[in-house]
Amino acid sequence: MRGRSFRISLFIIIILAISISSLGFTYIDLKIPGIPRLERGGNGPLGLKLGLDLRGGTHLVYQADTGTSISFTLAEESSPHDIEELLAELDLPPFELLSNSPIQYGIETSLLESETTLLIEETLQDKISPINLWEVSETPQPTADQMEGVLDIINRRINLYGTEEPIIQRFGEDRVVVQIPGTGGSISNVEFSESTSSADLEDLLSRRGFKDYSVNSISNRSYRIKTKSLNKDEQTDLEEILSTGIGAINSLEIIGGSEEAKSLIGETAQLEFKERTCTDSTCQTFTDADLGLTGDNLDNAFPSTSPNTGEWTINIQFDGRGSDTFSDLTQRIAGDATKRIAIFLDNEELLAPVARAWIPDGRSEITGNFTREESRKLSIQLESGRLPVPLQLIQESDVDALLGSQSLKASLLAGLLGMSLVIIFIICYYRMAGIVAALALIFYSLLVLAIFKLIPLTLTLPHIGGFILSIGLAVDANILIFERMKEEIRIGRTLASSMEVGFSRAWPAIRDGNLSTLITCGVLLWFGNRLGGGLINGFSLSLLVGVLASMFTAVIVSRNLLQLLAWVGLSRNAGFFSPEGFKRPDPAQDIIHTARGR
Amino acid sequence: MINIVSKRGWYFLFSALLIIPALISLILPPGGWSTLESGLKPGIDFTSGSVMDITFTKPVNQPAIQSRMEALGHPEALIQSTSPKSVLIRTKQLAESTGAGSRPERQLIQADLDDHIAPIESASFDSISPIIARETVRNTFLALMVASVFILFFIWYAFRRAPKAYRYGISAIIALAHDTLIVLGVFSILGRFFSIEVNTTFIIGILTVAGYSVNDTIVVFDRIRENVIRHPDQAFDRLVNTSILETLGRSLNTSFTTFLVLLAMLLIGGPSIRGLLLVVAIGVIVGTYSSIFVASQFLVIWDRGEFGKVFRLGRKTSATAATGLFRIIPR
Repeated sequence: MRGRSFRISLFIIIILAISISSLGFTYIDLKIPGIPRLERGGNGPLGLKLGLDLRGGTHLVYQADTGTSISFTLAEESSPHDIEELLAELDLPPFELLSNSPIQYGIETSLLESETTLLIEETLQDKISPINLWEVSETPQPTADQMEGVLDIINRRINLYGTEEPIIQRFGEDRVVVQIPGTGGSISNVEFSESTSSADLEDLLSRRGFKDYSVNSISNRSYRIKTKSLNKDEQTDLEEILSTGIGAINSLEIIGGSEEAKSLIGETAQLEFKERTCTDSTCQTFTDADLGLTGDNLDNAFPSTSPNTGEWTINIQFDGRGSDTFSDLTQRIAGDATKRIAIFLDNEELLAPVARAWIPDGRSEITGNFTREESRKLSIQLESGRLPVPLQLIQESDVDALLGSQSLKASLLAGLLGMSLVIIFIICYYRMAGIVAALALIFYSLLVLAIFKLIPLTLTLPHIGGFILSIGLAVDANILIFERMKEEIRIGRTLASSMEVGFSRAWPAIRDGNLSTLITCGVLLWFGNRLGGGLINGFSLSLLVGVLASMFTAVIVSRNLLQLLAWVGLSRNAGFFSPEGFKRPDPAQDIIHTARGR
Repeated sequence: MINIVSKRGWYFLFSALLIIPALISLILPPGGWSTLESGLKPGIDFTSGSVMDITFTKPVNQPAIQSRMEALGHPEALIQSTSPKSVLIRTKQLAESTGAGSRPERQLIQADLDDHIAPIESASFDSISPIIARETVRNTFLALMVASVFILFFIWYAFRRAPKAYRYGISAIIALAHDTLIVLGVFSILGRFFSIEVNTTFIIGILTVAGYSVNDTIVVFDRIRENVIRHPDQAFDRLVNTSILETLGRSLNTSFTTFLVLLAMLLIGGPSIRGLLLVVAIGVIVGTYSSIFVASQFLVIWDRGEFGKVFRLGRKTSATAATGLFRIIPR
């Protein structure tokens, strides 16, 4: 038994060492070939990653704008009220009625079956007035590939914006969640009349007491400065600082960071085809000429395998006007070794294939030793340049960096104070056992935080909520064990055997209670994944980690510490374990029990 | 030995006194079951709209901001001071842009307040469309229902060695429903009289309460299970009574430590988590109460087939009362 206990102690110490070291370091590099460098770090305390609500940033949820919109013109005037009432009787999904004039109306609603639109038309004709003009336009549910295209574009744009680690995820079938950290502040685009350097600017700003700013150089005269959000006075101050410290300012524009990011996302991707003329044999240097051929002229792009060679290729199909331009182009450059067709997405080169032959019908195939994945990805990029799915912003949350850091500080302090109070109470009440519980609790917290960091999990307020509940459950497990121990001591067992029995009696309650919490977490996670928000996910994920760690702590750590206590002899005095001590039933009996316990 | 079980009628009366007003407040308009808002005063998380949380560099007064908002075309704006220097401004969902090339409404409002009220120190912003708002409520409700079913079957399985194990599962779920109903009811009433809004933190709170409630019930049930298996010859109501008394120390200590944490958070934690705290505090009290006085008593009533007699309040049931003092000596 003793040997086993020491082995377990060693195990606990190893886990503790791993937890503490993973909280202390931001990367592990074993320098062994084949094992990649593991990087885990964030900007929070202990190198934890913090979510936007704790450090400031913008959280945006977009939804692909699907639905049916109908616009119609009535022959006779009517009132929006009458039409709305009539439509309400038709049992439609939630809709919006727009009216331009007493005869011109529009209906915006979710995607309708064609029978339903017909029904609306007939009802309006019957009950309101004959219809002069009736137009239905439908935006269907986007395909998985289209959504991937949307993600690709947003990624590109946010990276352009140069923010650190944006998170862009698809949620459900038709939603995109975009999280951009550190946008809570202001962005100042400044152009000086004389050239200057970033170093000078940075030097000036830090001398004038700016903290947490960043300077991006756009040209040697214009810079983008990111700072905390500036109010009007501070904006005037900044202007003065820059003009006196650097030199005359040509233009200064200060905007909110989240606005800039949003406007970037909102832009549509621009796909362009250009005629490239190479000026050396390997086409390292070249000139590009505009053709007036853009993504608007592209009908579709899709991957396939070539029937002749089995190679992966990208098929593109131009529309009528595009086919004409493309036909002219290919006729002109086919077989010309110095000519290529360069394809750009948002001014970034995707491909520059050679035209092998004249393509009169706008249907062409691009080959180039593509893997299946490459051809699929390029097709998506070409397609997304042609038609990004229209997006609707359905949720936005901007947290000012200042407020974020305040709530982080408050939560941390509250957590620490809460832990200290619990530890003080539990030590006062359970004495020696309370110290065990306190040690177990500290071990538990370090373990959970280390797991959070290693997963890695980005901590938000819901995560902290789940963590606090799991601390409660961890304390409860210890209390259950100690209460059982006290009962066993009361009926006359030795402390050593009471610990063992108390533990095994308390275990079923701890196990079943925690398992039921795990079940709840599982259900919540399943639902959370189908929800657009990370709220329920965050809560249940951290609760899940917390409960698992709490069971581990109760089984391994608390138990082993109690056993160690028993062996080092501290368990001789019952007063160590309870304020009231224990009424020893009968000295004689005690001796018998003690004898049996050994 | 205190006889807790014999007074079971009173506990149900007490719970009924809490639940009936809760239900009335939840069902009465505005709100009502059909909208799932249930009389709770919904924050923007559940309705849709925008909230700006603005801190100025100097103290500001509410009516001045109200009149600025009216001038900006937002007479519906609700302004709430959170400290002398900061306010929450609730409006309908603000437009992304008010015309071609113009800035989003939020920027216009902030710039205006910066000009006319006081320089702005920091500003946060939340905006939610009706689509998300409806979903959050529906999904949370569904998630809780599904979780309840799973927990019921889990307890049924975990207690399979005790006779009629399904009763434990059903009783635990009744206690869970009891707790969530009371918390919802309290907030519905607070919403009616003190304009306390429910938002997403409220949902986290409800989930926390649900987790706590089941966990606490299982601890008491675990003791009942142990005693029932060990003493199959004893009367069930006596066993329940003993089990409750044996777990009382643990129940009180756990509730107390949880309260310590809540207290610490209340003292220090920011206003953003104060709502959560209130939900959890009420939930902890109700959850501890229901494990002892609802879930366990329900088991007894079921065992004795007393569903019809519940309201014969406090009438001492013969066997337990006569031998009010007894003690099970383990082993």
